[in-house]
Amino acid sequence: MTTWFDVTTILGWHRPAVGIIRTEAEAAAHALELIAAGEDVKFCFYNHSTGYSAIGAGEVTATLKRISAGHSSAPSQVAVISSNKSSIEARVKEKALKVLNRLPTKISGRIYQFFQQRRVSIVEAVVGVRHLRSALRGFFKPAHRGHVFNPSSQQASITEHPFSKGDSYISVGLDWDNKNLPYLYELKKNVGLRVVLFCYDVIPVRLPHLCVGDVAARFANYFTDVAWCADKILCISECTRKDLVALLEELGAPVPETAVVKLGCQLSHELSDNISPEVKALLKERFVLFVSTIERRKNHEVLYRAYARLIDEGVQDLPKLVFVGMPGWGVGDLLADIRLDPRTKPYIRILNNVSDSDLMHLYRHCMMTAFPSLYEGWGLPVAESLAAGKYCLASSAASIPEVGGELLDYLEPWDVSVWATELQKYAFDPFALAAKEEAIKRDYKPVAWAETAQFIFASLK
Amino acid sequence: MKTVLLLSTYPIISPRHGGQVRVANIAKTFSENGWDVTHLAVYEPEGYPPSTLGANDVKFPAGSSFRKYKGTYVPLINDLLSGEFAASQEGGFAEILKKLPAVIDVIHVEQPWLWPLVMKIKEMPQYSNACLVYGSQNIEAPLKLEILDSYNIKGAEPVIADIEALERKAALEADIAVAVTQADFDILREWGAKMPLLAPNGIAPWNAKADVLETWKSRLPRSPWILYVASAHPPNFKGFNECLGSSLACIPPDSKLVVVGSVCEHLESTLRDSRWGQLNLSRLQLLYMLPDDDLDAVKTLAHAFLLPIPHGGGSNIKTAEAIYSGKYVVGTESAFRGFEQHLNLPEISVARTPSEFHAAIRNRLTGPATVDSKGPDKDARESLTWARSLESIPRAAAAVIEKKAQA
Repeated sequence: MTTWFDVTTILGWHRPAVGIIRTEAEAAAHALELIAAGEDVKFCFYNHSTGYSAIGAGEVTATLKRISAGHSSAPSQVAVISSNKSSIEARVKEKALKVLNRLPTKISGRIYQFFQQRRVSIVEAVVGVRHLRSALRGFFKPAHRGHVFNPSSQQASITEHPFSKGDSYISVGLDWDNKNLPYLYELKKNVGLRVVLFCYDVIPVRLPHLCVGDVAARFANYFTDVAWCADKILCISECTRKDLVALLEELGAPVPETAVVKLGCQLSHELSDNISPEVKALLKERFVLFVSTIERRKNHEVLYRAYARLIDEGVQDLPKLVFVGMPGWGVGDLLADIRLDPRTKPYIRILNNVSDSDLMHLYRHCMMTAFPSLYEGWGLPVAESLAAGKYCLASSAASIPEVGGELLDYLEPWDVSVWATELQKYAFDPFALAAKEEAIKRDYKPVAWAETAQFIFASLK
Repeated sequence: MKTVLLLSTYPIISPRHGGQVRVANIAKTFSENGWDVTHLAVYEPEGYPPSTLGANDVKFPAGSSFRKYKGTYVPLINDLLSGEFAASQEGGFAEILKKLPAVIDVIHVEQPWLWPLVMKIKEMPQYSNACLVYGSQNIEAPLKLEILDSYNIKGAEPVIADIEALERKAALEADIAVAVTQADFDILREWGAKMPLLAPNGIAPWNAKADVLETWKSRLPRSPWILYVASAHPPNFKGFNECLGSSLACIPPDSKLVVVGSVCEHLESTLRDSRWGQLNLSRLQLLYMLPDDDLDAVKTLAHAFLLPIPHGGGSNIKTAEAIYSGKYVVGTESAFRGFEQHLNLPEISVARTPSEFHAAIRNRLTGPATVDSKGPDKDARESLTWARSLESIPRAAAAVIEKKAQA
């Protein structure tokens, strides 16, 4: 019985491996090792019009090479979904009565009477409009008949696929964009596949206000389909596992077996002497490093405010604060503040498109890192900081305490005072910082990507 | 041949909603038991097109002064107002009088609304000996209160008090008071009914046509799916989210909740506007109103029936149909009111919370079908047919007539 590893995401990826891409790439690399060792592992990919197809190990090897040769770039964003179109007729009566009830009884009674006498014609008109709308929709978009008369939305045939009864299928990629899970569900039922899927976080449903657009409804649908398809769901932290199970229970979806897999935290590239001038200048200074996309959820704001507060209190010679990441959604005002605020201007630097080698240099030379995120599915920058032997001022939110365990003190992400206090403490107390670094070097066991990949494949057993 | 005058507030030529179906079957049951049946409806013309009217039906005109309750218009209570209209010389009584048969052995009125008309007829010497049957489909006062509340109609207390008084009066004055559930039966007895009688709702066995079945097979999900058939009666959609927790995630990705009836547009709105709107719409297939042949086919093809009725009185005809089908049935305790004796059937699941609903639906939609192509054991379910569920009414009426004759 074959184990199929889905490489759809990396096949279509033309930038460096970050986050989910890295996970899929590392697992694919491990799959190549398993194939070389004689294991029955194969690769597949999904296409919306043709369904699943097999792909050779050679093409996967070339893809991994292409990705590892890439340069840093910004992560992609979740697309805005279209809102549900609402039909007006469904609640006409209810709404009309609610409006009428706000009027004096004599007037509302007469209006009610007027419309009551014309009820049949009103209903006929509404039904007519509905049929006309449905007909127009069907005429102009025959493939999009929606939920009314179109029970099956998948386009690919479920008879043509590379799988056999008893095979296993693993996908760790961007399945909400690249896959059709109802199709996978039908395939699983027809073929008898064992399916292992991944959950990186449930942020779009749990904290939709911190995401782009109204993603909660869309992702509730996605997680529900994941739950129906998967025999096992691998979650990247205990917090994510608990949140996912709670969500599925609330939705009424099935709750399949779950397990926690720790993501690797090695920085893959060797240090290069070819350092960009901007980074080279920074390496000569004391600085606090924050590696993350600049978006509301990551909470750069608390660091900006903590710096502003310390400066207002007369604290001098603060270390620089270096944000490494692409500016994203919902931070326009914050970035304007940072750009214009004369108090913090000498301290805060924002770097984008930093190469892996430069990033390693920054990790090595920083005083410490910071990660005040409001919610995470895991918290990879914290793990990377610890792997580099650096202390991290970390948020106490969600999964983050799972990353550093006892090695870090975790701070309430909204509490500016506590961030200011801790920044000042470690900025000016080299002994305290050294003690923390000593403990990290002694006790932190970084997870290798190979371990992550092994765990993913072993989860089938 | 004995004669029964059957009164209702809706015509029964083309029965659609539950009340019409029950009255039509009462007429049929009397007729099949050798009675001469005259049905007369005092109906709202704006609700029933001419093609659905019977020869004796009398309209309660939209412009009638009887449409006012104590001088003002109150929405959704025309049924209550129709009684006064029908019994009044200034209203419809003169026209009704022309349509009455010369001899009436039994006056059977469904629901209490036309009880004033019953008493008016009974006052006439030629009909004074008629046996009076009050068919209580529901305990109406709390149900009407719930409906008016759901539309936020204020100041309805006097209306509700009048309805309760009317119900109690009908129960007390009737020779026979018919209930559709044991709970309603107990209330009628407590109100002092002389002869309370339990005659639950039933079903008319259906046989789908082969060609219609094939058509619907191609339009409905290939995987097992669950069916909800209901009218736009508010309890049929107001409590849906309460039952299902606003989420249809319990439906597999390749399946649907298939909905038939005028509840469709209301339910779509209810589910779309919930937090999980997109998920819900992906699991919904709305068929709206269907002709009988199509509905028979859809019911035959269903893998399971859903009865998400958290409140409301009376018994649900759809429950009887669901049980009769032999398919899986998932419903609230309220939905099975009047059919408690069937609750121990293995295919029936009672759910009290959203999580119980979800678990039951998941379980049923991923389980094997309950019945094979031959369908359910219909003989074992004979008690659910209208013929059996209503046969006690003409029998009891005949006994009352005989007793009166002997007195």
